[in-house]
Amino acid sequence: MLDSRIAQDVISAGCELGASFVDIYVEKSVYEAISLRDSEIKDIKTGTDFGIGIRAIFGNKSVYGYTNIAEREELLRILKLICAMDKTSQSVSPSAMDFRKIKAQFLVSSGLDKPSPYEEKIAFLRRVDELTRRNEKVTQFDGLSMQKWQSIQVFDSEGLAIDDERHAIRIPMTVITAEGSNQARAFEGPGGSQGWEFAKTIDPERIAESLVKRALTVLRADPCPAGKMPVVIDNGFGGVIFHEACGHLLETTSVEKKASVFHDKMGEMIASSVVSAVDDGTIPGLWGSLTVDDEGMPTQKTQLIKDGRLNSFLVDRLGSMKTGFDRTGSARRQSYKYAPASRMRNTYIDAGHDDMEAMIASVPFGLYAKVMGGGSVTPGTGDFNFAVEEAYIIKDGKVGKPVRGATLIGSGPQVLKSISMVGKNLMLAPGMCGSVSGSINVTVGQPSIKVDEILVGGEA
Amino acid sequence: MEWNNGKELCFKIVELAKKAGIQECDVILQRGQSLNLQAQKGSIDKSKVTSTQVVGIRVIQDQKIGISASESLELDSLKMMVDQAKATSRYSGADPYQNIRQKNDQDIILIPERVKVKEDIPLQAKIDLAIRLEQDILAADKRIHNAPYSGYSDGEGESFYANHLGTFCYQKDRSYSIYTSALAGANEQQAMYSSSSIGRSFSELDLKACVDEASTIALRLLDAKPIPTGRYDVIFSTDEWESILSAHLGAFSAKAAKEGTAYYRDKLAKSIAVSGLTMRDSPQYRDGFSFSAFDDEGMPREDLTVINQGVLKSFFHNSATARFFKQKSTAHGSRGAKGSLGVSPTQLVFDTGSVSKNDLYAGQVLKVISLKGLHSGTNAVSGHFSLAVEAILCRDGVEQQMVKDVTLSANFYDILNGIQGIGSTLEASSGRSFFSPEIRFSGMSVAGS
Repeated sequence: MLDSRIAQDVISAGCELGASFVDIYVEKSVYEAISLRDSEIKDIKTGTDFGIGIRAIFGNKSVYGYTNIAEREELLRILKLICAMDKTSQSVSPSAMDFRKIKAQFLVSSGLDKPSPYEEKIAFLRRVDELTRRNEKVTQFDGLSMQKWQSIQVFDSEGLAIDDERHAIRIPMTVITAEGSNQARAFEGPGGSQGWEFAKTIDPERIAESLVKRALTVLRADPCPAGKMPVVIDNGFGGVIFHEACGHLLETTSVEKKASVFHDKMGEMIASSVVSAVDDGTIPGLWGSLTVDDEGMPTQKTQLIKDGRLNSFLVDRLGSMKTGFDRTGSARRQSYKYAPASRMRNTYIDAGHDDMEAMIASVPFGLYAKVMGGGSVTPGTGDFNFAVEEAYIIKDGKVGKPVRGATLIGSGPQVLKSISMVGKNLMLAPGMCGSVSGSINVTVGQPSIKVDEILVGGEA
Repeated sequence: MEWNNGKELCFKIVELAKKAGIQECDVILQRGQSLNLQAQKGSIDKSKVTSTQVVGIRVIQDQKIGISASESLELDSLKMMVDQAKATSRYSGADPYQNIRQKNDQDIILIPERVKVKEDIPLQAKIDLAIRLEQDILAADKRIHNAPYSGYSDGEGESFYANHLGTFCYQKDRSYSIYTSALAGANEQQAMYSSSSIGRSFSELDLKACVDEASTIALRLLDAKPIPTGRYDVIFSTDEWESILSAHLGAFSAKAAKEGTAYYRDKLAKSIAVSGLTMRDSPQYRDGFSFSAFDDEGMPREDLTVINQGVLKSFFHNSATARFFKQKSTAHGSRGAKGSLGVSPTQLVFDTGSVSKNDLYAGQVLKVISLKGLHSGTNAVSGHFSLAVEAILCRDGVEQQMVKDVTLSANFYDILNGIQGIGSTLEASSGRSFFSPEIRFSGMSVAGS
């Protein structure tokens, strides 16, 4: 990693150029990806990413650069380039470094810092493959075992000098079923901030059964009718809508630009009073958990919305400087190639008091979105579009036939106000989030919720 | 020659692999530098300078593949990378079709003349351009209250390929771009639209066109509303046509055909579209920004006709799929330094038709200018898509209303047989690596009011 004396020299040079704050992020990531397809191990990719990012802040403005070369001259070259347009004669003195090593939040026994048990990993993927293929409609199983061991250092001009290690594992699995010319797919991707020991918590039989059942349901589903209707969104990955269409609007990355409709709504009712929402980076072993964020600040549990009222944004250092809100340990980035930005960690709508049965019973005609797929949102407006992987028509208060090709279209802020029921069955699910500082591990979640009206796009 | 040190590095890795007893290997080295400036509130809010390098090796031992990469070019890291690739290859399933046999008569070196000349653009000129983007957007109309994503970027990239047979290829390129967005609001309606301009030189960047497009469409979208549910003829903007085609390109992939997931796997030499439709891949079309001299297996690029007059003529092949289907590779092998071998096109070009603009827009047509949720609303396997769109409803070429809050649904493979007309003017996408005339598709399903 980076010699602290070099880090101190670069930070001092940045301060001499007039930067009010300088930080250095050093990352070494060892990764491994084992993929199984056609019942064969297709390939095993391994490698090491290494790089150093330098950020300098002049007033409220941030400049950033990165390189793969950990030499003093190269780092000073990058620093001078990024400071070229802002350097001033008013230098500030950096604080002396106070070295700290972070105590691991969650003990990992089988990370990539140890020899990889390839045979065990391959056997797991083969087992799920074999179980899914027992159904003759299954034409393909794709399995992937992905692991990462990331070592980071953060140095800054306020004297922070910190080391941290992070482990991550995810096992995405997809089943494709076919009948005639129809094909359908089902996906599950369990993951956590853990090592290979995480896989021992996954029951191959349960996951195979779940994937096959869903892919068969979708295969035989009728086209989904289109139009505005009430929608019951089930727990777990259903929380992706809150994440995309509301969570991003609570990040100071968009608030500071006034690009979020919530930028001036602190303390106001922005959601139905049955809605409370949280972003929590401290839950041990969860996919979006961190001990410290990418600015070296300990993560925390942040109450975003309380009983419908906006309670907090997600705030990084620059966001704090620009908005005046306190930092929340939410600075995150995909890698050294990105400057940190305020991002979500484990974000969910908190459990409410309603029963799932009562929600369904209250809908004369609508959609039950049992498993959500991916989606996207327009920054600023919160307009969203999400696919529903497994959906059913609700008719006369009962769940009816499955439908395929459903998409949910709407505005996040409007949907927040249209949630009329929140269930007790909170569940969380891992996902990947792409935004200004790259693609990061996040958890989404919610209990079952009822939204009184959403535009449903369908094929019928 | 500045690329010589990269060539030496590639062959040093090849030698390390040979010493480790590896039978076949190839090495990809990618290097790049870039500058990005983002404007906000009249000054540069964020700037980013990058300098990157990554090298990767693919080894084949007894038909088994191992892949490893490193961003550190220290000798110890390179040795570890070679050892890891060799070690992991033991666990891969045998692939009798993948091998590394490309041997060229001479090195392929592509450094365009315009890249050999160093453009000496002052940093201040780049800063001024980024700031003007934001200022001009905000000045366009008082209803535009923000330009949250306005900026300038430029970059240079180098790609190296080498293998154990002595094959060596090198390509270098440079590009410049600007981008902006207009966030408009009125009567509690919000609308945002983005635009960009790309150039091979700084002077090619078109600030005015970029600002005009983003501001004009954002303002017009303030009046957008749903149209009645029904069937409409549709013309996609070039960017949206590129997007929706790209989501379904697996249908033309020989790799997907080999794996049984390509929709057109049994359609070679059969009609898949109306007889007027011809699609080519033109890697050597020099106006394109994905111009390429060699693929990621070191094979010289050639033009390829994929659809000729509605008939599927070829899939995109790499050497492995070509061997499987007993055909010649079309030089579409695709692999990054960290990745495994796949296939991908370079620059797709559709032939122009003979339909005039007036005829193309005769009657009622929905011109789609924005597709949302492409990665979630499409099923590339079946071809079904259902997407939120923003559009312009036209009658006889005259705008009737701006459209939003509607979904457009169809089957991609079906609409190729429902083409009503192909325009006579070739248009480039904003990224300038996709070229197509306007195409009118009949009777697509719209869910609206």
